[in-house]
Amino acid sequence: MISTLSKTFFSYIPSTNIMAKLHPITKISLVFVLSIIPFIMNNIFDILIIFFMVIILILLTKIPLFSKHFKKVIIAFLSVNVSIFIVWCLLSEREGSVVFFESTIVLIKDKWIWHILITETTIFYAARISLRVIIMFFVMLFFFISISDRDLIHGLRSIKIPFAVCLMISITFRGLAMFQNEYSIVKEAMMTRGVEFQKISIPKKIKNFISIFIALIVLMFKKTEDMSASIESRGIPLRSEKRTVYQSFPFKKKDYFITFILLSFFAFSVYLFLIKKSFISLIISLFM
Amino acid sequence: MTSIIEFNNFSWKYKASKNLVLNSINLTVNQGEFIGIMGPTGAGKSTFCSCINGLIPLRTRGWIKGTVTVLGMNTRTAKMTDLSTRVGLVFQDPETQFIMMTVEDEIAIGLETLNLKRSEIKNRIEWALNLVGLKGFEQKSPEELSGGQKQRVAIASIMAMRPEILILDEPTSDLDPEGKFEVFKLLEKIRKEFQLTVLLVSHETKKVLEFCNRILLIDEGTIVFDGSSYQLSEQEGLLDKLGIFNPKNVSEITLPGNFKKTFHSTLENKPILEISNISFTYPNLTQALKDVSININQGDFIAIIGKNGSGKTTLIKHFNGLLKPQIGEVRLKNNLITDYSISRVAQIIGFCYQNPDHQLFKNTIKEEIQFGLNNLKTPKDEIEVRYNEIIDLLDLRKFEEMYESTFYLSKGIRQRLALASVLVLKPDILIIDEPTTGQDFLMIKEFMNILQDLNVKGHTIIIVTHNPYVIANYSKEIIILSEGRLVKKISTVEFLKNETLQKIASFIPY
Repeated sequence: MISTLSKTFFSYIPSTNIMAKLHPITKISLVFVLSIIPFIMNNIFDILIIFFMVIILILLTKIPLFSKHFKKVIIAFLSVNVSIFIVWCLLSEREGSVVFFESTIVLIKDKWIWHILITETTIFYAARISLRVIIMFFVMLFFFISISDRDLIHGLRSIKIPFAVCLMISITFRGLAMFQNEYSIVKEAMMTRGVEFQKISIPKKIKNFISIFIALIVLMFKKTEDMSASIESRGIPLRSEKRTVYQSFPFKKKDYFITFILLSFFAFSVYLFLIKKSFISLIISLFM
Repeated sequence: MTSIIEFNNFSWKYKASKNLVLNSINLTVNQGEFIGIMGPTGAGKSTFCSCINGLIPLRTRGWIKGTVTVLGMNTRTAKMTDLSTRVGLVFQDPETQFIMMTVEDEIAIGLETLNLKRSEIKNRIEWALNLVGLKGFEQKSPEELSGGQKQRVAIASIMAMRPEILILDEPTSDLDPEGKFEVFKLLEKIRKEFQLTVLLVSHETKKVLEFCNRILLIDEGTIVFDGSSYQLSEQEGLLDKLGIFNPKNVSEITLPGNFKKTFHSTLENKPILEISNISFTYPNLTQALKDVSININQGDFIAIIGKNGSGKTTLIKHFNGLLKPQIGEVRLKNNLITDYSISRVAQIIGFCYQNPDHQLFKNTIKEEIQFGLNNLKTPKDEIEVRYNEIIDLLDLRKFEEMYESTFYLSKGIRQRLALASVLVLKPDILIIDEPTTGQDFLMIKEFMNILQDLNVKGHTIIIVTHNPYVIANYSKEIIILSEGRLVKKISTVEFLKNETLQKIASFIPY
């Protein structure tokens, strides 16, 4: 099965590994906890622990990081990340022991206005931000590769999320696929009328994209109308009338176990954040 | 026989429409009938269908008079779920009927509504897929299916609910002739097996006359004919008067061996497009074209034909550089297509899409026609001259005065506008993907006559079509594709004599 999301980001890879067998809700909990925790942690070593946990997750999911397809994206992502790190180091000044200092005196209104000051704290802050972004990236990668849109909908239905909500999500995925398909046709149609999308100024590009969206709105409006008629004409009620759930996705013991661990870990991290302590300091105090 | 649908002096008008869309309809339908519904575009056929399964008046706002009783239920007071689970409705566009991610889920979602046991749902899915010949497709996603397969899934998802009445609103318009024939055969089989009442809206006159035991002709919201195909054949000129395709008029020229029509000759016998050994594989590894080589001469009128998925659209997208061949080359006027800029190609090759909505980007007719010229930075006075020329040529001026926005134009007029917006660039070659889909015979004829006039003036016309009438009456040559390979480029006259090639191309003459 091809995932609808696959066309917009990394593709869902059908698999039989240990992570693939988890309930979609367990996977969503993993994504939720691992992407939020780094932002409530201040200690870089704590964030490093999360980073290693994410790496283990990626290894267990058997994502082919070194394949041709992923290599390109990862290199592009890491380049952006390094740029973030450098820009942060150059533009943010923090107190601390100086690692690098360079200044050029340009007098404007009796003030010199340009210098580079990099302290240990700056590097520490920049590394923390980079690490958080890297974690976020790999967690999202895990999400798109291990959860198909179909699993997501059945997962939500199995935990008694109202049918109307699940149907809405399903239609959104279908709509995304249709939108993407229509978008490329309309863009092509504009090219056949002499519209350039490359080698033109940004305002012109924006103008062209507005024209695409006019056509898309008309198309999607008509399609939505047809889709809604199709749902109605099959007697699919949106209210909570009694209906069978055909696809069963039972929450197994391992799902309960992992979700419990994750939520406990999350709660503990929030607790540490509130009392302003870190994991590392806690571990050290345990052994000292 | 038991009557199961009764229209009693029924009239309907949408909230936004000025005139009655259905006017004083009186009709009784008995169980087990196979009714073919025909009429010109905008006659009220789809509205008629929606009245039977309750979409009108239960989910649509409008003015109503009279009653419709379906399976003993008054459609004004019945519950939508009660009606729609017993009256199945299959729409024209199978794409918009898919709301789930796999074939299995798509069929299951309707059955879940019936609150059936899981085992029963599983059995019915298997049964329905067997019925439409798609066993083994359970886990396929909509993106993996062809138009015909999607339509069969739509039928399966309705049939699995075991409706007592099945209504199909132009279910075959996107299919190749073989696919159309399969759907008709399937409907006949289902009807006989389950004593099902089938109402089918279609522009396929020949097949409707062959398969349906009762014909309804609707025009301007009124039933103008109700009888058997034999009775219809006695009503001389009725089909022609309504602008419905009449198989009697064309059987002579489209039957193999009887082809009599002659065309004006090609202007110059020099190739304008040279396709050499091109192959193309999509990222999902579908090899759409395999080593195709063709020359197209200036002044040609070519129809590209073949089964659904044979590579027709992929091929024409290579003609104007929308797709680049992975192997081989495309030359336009002796130069590689890749050497041309997008704007230069647009001036030489015009491209019209199957659905005009894909290529209308502006709010008014004037803005739309001038869009391409503005992109090419044409001088203002030249734009005005060309605009006036084209609007008169395609008879669009009255619509410009009548409608403020292109949004309100009918499909036929939108298609004509799309053609105008391409023609205004004065291209030497005009490529049109499926110009006849979902249009009535009169509209097809009007549109094709415009193309023929352009061809006489020297434009090279390339169309992708399944329509035998269009192929036989308008094209001079035919390019046959099968599974991405070029089978043959042949004159239409020769093709209509060659039954083997017709079979390969899924061409069924009238």
